[in-house]
Amino acid sequence: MAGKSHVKKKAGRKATKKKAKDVKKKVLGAGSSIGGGEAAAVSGLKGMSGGGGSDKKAPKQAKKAGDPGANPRAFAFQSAVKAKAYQARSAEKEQRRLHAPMSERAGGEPPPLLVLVHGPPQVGKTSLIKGLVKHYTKQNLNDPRGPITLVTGKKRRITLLECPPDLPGMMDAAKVADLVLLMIDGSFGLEMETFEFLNLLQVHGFPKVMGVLTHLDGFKEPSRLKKAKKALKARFWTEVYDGAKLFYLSGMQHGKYLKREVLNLARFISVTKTRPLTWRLGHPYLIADRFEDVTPAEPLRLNPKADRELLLYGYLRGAPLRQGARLHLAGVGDFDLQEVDALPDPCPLPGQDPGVPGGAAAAAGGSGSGSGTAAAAATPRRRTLSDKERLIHAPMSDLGGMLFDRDAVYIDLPDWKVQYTSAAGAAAAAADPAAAAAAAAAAAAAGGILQEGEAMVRQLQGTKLAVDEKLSRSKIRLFSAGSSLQGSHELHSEDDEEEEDDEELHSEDEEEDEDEEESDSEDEQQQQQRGGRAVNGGRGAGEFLDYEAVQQDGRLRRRAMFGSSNNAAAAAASAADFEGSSDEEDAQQQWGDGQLQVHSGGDSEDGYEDDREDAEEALGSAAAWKAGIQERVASLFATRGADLAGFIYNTRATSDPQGLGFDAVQQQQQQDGDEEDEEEDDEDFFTLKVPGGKAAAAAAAISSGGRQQQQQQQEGPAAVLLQSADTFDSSRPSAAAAAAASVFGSSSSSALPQGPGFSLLDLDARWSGPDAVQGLRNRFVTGDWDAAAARAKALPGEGSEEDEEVEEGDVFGDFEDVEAGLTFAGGDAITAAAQKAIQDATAEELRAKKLAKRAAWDAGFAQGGGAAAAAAAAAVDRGVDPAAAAGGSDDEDDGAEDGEEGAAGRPKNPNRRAEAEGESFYDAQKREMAARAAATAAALSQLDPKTRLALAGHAAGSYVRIRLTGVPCELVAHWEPHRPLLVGGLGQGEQRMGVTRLRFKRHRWYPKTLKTRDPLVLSVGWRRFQSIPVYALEDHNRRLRALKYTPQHCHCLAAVYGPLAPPNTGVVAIQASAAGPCPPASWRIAATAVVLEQEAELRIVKKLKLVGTPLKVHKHSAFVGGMFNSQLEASRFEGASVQTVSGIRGTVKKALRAGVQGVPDGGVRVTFEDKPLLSDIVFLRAWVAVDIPQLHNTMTNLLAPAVAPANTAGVSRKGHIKQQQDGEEAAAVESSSKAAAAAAAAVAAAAVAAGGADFVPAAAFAGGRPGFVFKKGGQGLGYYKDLNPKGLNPPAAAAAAAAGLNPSLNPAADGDDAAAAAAAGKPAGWVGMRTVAELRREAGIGAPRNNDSLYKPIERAPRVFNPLKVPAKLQAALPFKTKPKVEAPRKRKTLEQKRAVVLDKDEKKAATLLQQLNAIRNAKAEKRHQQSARRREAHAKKVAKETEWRDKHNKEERKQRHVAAGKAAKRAAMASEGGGGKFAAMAAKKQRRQERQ
Amino acid sequence: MLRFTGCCHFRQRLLLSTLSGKAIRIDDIRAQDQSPGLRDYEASLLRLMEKLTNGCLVEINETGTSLRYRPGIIICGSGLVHDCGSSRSIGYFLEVLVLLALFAKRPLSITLRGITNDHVDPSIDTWRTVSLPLLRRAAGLDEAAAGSLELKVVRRGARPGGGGEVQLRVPLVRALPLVSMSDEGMVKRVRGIAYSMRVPPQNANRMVDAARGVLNQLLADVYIFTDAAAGPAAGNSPGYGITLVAETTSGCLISAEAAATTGSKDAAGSAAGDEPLVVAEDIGRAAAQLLLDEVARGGVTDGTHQGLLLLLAALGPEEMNQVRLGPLTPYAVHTLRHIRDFLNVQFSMRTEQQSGTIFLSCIGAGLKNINRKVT
Repeated sequence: MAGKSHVKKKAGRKATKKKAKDVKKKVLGAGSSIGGGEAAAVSGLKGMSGGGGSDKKAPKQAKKAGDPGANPRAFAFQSAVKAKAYQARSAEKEQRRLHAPMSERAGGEPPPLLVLVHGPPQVGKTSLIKGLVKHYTKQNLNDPRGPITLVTGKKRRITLLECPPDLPGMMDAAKVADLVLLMIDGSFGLEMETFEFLNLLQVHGFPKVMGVLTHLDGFKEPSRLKKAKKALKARFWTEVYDGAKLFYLSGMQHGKYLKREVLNLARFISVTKTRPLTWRLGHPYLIADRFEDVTPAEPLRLNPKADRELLLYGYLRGAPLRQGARLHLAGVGDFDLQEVDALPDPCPLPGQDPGVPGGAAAAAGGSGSGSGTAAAAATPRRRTLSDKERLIHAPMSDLGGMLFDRDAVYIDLPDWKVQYTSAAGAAAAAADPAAAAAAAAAAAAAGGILQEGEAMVRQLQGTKLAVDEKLSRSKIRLFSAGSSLQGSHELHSEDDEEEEDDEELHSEDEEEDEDEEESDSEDEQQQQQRGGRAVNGGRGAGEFLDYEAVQQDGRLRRRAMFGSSNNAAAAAASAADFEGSSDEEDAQQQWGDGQLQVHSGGDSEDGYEDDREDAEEALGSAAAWKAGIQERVASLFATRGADLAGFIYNTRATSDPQGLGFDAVQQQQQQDGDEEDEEEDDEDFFTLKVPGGKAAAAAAAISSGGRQQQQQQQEGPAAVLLQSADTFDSSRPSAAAAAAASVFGSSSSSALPQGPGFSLLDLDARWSGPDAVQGLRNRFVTGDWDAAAARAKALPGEGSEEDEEVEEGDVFGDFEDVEAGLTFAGGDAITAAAQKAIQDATAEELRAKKLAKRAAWDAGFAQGGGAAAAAAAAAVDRGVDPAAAAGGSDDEDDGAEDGEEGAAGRPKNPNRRAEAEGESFYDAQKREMAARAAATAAALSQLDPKTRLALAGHAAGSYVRIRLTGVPCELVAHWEPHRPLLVGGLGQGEQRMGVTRLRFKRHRWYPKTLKTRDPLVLSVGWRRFQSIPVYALEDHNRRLRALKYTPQHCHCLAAVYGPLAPPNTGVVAIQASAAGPCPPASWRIAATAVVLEQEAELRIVKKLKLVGTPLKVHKHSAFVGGMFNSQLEASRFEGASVQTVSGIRGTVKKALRAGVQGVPDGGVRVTFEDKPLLSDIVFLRAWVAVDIPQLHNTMTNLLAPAVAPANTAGVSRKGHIKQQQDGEEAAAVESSSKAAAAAAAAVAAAAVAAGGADFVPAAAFAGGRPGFVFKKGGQGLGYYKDLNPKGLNPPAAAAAAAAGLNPSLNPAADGDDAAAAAAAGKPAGWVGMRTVAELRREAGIGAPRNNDSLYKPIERAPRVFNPLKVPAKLQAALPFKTKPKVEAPRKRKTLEQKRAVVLDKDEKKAATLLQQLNAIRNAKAEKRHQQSARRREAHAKKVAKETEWRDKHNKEERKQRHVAAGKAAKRAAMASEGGGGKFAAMAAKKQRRQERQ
Repeated sequence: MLRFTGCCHFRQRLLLSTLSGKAIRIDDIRAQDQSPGLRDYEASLLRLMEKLTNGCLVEINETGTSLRYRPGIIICGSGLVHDCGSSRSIGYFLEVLVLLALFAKRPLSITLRGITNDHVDPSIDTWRTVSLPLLRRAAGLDEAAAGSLELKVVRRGARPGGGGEVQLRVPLVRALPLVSMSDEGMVKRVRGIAYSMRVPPQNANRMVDAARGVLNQLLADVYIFTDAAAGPAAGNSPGYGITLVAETTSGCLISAEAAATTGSKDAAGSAAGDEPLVVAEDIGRAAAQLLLDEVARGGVTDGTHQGLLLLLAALGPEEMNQVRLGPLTPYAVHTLRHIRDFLNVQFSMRTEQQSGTIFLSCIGAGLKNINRKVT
């Protein structure tokens, strides 16, 4: 009944909804037909700026807000059951929402959403990426490689990444993906890769997952398609969650997915939200989307395999990255972060200023958002992105032949586009493009056609000199009339700096003209300087053929300068960059350059640059670089604001022996105008005036209202003093001072600083005067509370600049407030006082207002939630009474009394109040977290950029460049863009080595049991490493008992040595062979685990049972031998408890000397609780520690050549592989197949040699036999054929093993390498430590065996007992009772047997009578028996008839019979028809029914 | 590996190395000294570190002038005993111990033997009345957990004989909460302890009178307890001193102390300043005047605790931790540098001109207790 009504109601609701939708559609339709403006008028909105969401939401909110409509009761519950159900549902929803709240850092722009496209090979991943790129940017990508970043919406960017097919690559990808598009071949079904990847995701934090079903055009019948879809969906849902989104890409048209379907997918991508994952929020990471090898040429020339210096570019994700962090390159190793700087965003969101590095824009949102809004105000707002805003950043994909560097754009000119004037050059170009370039240059220069700059550049092409030589020789003429200058380093850099300074002062008009002219010469120098630096777009092949031309894939690349307006700045920046300065000043300057430099264009499309320039021209003087220039300039000069920090931080404590940057600080002190306060501080910690004196000085300063000028200290003694104080190491300032004084006490008192010290006299002198003490009056409650309050409220000012300026006013006289544009004439005390008064007054006013607002907010929130609070606060802004605004409430004004608990108690109060209001604890926590994050962001935004960077590092979302040194050259040699390079920041304690304790479970789909001490590859955190686990179980007394194998279906513990990871980190374990190029066909993930604890060492034990025998037994003690081998060994066990087999306990008392009492060496004296037997066996049970191998091996798969997975090796190499390489590959495949064939032949030959059998019997192991395994099997002990050869061809593998276990890391030729490896039968790619089983198999050795341990059938002979013989004498003596009663068989008959019996007459008669009577009785009995049998038979017949009738009507019987009959019929039908079982069964049923009827 | 030279701030280097997990190497430890190498108290500290951690590696060269230290995993645990020796007082060791134990695998319970009160290091009374409350506040220990961070004085011990004994218990924390202390408040009351060991108990009363004489000019609410230890609770040597604590309206504690400097003849501090401090009245007055010094210095804590507070802020969450301090002591400056080197955390320093106080704020390192076992 209830169900019915429910259905009805639902239908009704649906109908109303539908109606509402229709209405809405009509409205929208009208709008769109009429036009934007009128549509707005119709829907009652001011403009269309808010996007589609706002007008939809508005009516809903109105409905929710209060107006219940005409009939409020219509929405009330009618039934209690329904109300309860509703309540339960909402409660469940509420509970589902709950999770441990995580604070997300309030940053600026979030990094692009990382969309990972995953799927088995040939499923259509690349096509999907192409489709999405086409959809978003309308560009065709032929060969998407590496991460591709796109702007997909006004507030959204995504990075598309294709998941590599190998397991290590999948591991890395699973750690970074925000959204996974799981592609499934619909025609084939789900594949192992998908499940494996889902498993990886589950362990490393589950991001959002969407399924994409492709190859659906493989289905011919729609019904089968439907069925397949349904089945796949069901399976997908069980794997992910019920209701997970699954897309169907029904087919391809012209090699592309259908536009509509890609659009649908794109829409879902654009609304995806990311989940906060603990690991990722806590660690900075980035996926490198560009890779550059910047190793200097000279070391490379000397040693081509020298360690490289790399630049990696990418969007920073996760936690902020601070300078000096340690990074892990997944698949390579750990590196120190040499340098990180924020670059202009190459793919900025529309309205975001690309000129401001992300780090600066992130926290503040100041200049960046400001300019953004300005730009937005200038252009009309749109709902969609304009074509210009559809940016794409895909540096590895060589999109449109353009490549962006920090300060330059590289235009890729294919060979056929390059036209040289000389025919010779062109001819040479065919042979060797580099040589051709030089030749062409020479030819052109000889012709004299070229301009000076160009000639110089051409000249440079041909030279073979080192950079510095070249620099010193090169000449440049700045002015046409001037003499040419010889270039040199120092001169040049100075020039650059000057120019940079100039540039700030230039008006833009001048610049445009001048820079055009200058740029050429600048350009050349730049190129000259950067000559040795190979810029690698895609591969980073790092070859240095010539200076400006980079030979790569047969193409010639040339560099063009950036936009016209800021060439000089860019050049200067790059010059500073090239200087490679490591000291801090330069770094600062560089940073500043980064600030000044303007990014012009993030698009790599050809036409875009022009558009952009046009736009700039159109904007005229309001060029982009000028946006927020004031802030930037201010930030450049903001170094002065951090003077105190400079004193403290400027020099590293490690660099000078005293742990103090004494000299540096002194110098700086000289340079800067000695500001009072800092000087005081200096003295405090540099001259070591006794700190009491410092405080006294401060006190005096306060009391007198003026400032005391301290004497300048002499440097020498002070430094010594300081050192002595450091030597002393006490946190008590007075004590430290006293100690210092004591060190130099009498001897060098003349060198001591004059001034108050810690002595009674000094103290007295300071505090004896009544004024001195009374000066502190206001710090006590007996003093002036207002003064104290003012002191408590006093802040250093909004920005550090402000009070700096105040100070400068004191020191230098005049100062100008740049922001306010006012000039103050300082100097005289009155003006200063007036200024101060004004400032104080305004500050006070502001503070009061703030307080009132806050109070109003609190009160309003308590009463009527956020809206009321906002209203109340707004009312304060307007100057209205907040109480009236909030609804005429009377609240105690806690803003007024702020003395005691004001500041301290306030942060807690709103919480409690909110909780009382009914806000859940969870919500309160979340709100508090958000508030704290906001407060941090606000505090950070007040700092100048430099300080902010030092404090907080680069925020997530900024585009950064990372410099690493000491990277193995193999990374560069084997670099392939389709292997993503993950750079992860290491957190606290993650660099340490130790033993990790894991809760470990073998994966239930993994076919094998894992053996202890077999190496496993573990993926923990960012790392992947191979280590040797030891498995264990915890006993009840917390003892860890070693296990030989992982248990079935339950967890165990694993102790693993390696880099530590924090507890609760997920771990995936695989076998090294599963990561290789030819993985097993089965499930590859061996186990999953979680980190429980990190330890220095872990004690895992196994049982030890020592056995001995008593040699001599006295009363309760015995000498036991055979238990130990020596007296020394035995002595270690004195006091150990032992036990005999019969259960007598004892203790080892003493190890005996050999020969004492005839006991052999290793004998012990043991006392027992009872007398043991000589035949007893004595056990000593003990636990012995199992050592955990201290070994780990980073999985450096990126240092090995990439190998295509086995299943696609021969099929289709992707398009980007060159033709030549294809050839190589084919050769490799061919050769490998040949090798395989040869190997097979060898095996066959071996088999033939062995007699052609699969088994060769052998009593004992007689050396390894290739292709065979020595074991005991079904046919007994002997050599069996190896049925599962892992290495495909054991002889070759054995040969490879003999040649060297390590895979060759030859950077020279990857293709050749792979081919060679394949030819040798050795797996290419990374090869890890092998398991013992693998090693044995390769060597053809079976497992070692102890013959005693073999199981053999027990043959027991039947026991024969001898007859018991009792001597005749004894028998005679025995009493009858015990005499043996068994007689021997008689040989003769007894007398009775022999005797004949004769009957007399009477006896005969009686016997006859008896015989006759018996005969009569027997006859009668026979007759009776027959009769009764007949009767029984009749009765049985009758009963049978009856039962038959009864059975027929018995229901149970009937049912069973029918079932049996049905089954039989079904079987018969199936047997006859083969497939259509169901129909047959139905037919049978029908038939039966008919029968019954 | 971080490299340092010189012996200064040995404690902090060890502490931060262990907390951050970075190995260090210190060279030229008193290389030019008449008796080069590590001092006995430093060696004692190293032994204590070995006691508290698992898997740490300490390598010292023959002369003791060079040290390599690779930190292990902090274990702690209960039932530990350490003899601190008689060259430095227990306060020297406590500074390392307390912070370390917050991030250990098991809660710490340790008995420390040695000097409890002297004129060099923060005395046990300062620790009990100022440092531990500060830690409780900064470590976010609520009322229930506050009891588990405690210091019990079993016996007092003065220089040079020592013989004092204290019991320390430190609980574990998951992570430190936000440190935000920028309101110094006004001094509302002064409390203190005047102690004496193996001397007539009048000494304590004399110190109290002298201290009150100074402080009563400003405040009436001055109450100083006297603790005249006798018998076995008084340790091996005579001594006396006074610890004063000023409590402000915002709950900040500012302390100063002074102790008699007689019995000490070692290098650490023979005579303070120019003449030894022996007269009880002088000690009382000096302590009071030092307290005035500290109050005049400003900030939410005194000079002794600046370093500790800065460390707590730097170890705090990755949010804006802020403290307001008076002019920085050399110790605090070194602390800042070490924090930068080890934890990669820098402070922004802004000076407030009127009061001469400094607002130091930082984004903390967000140190978490990763040594704890999860189940």
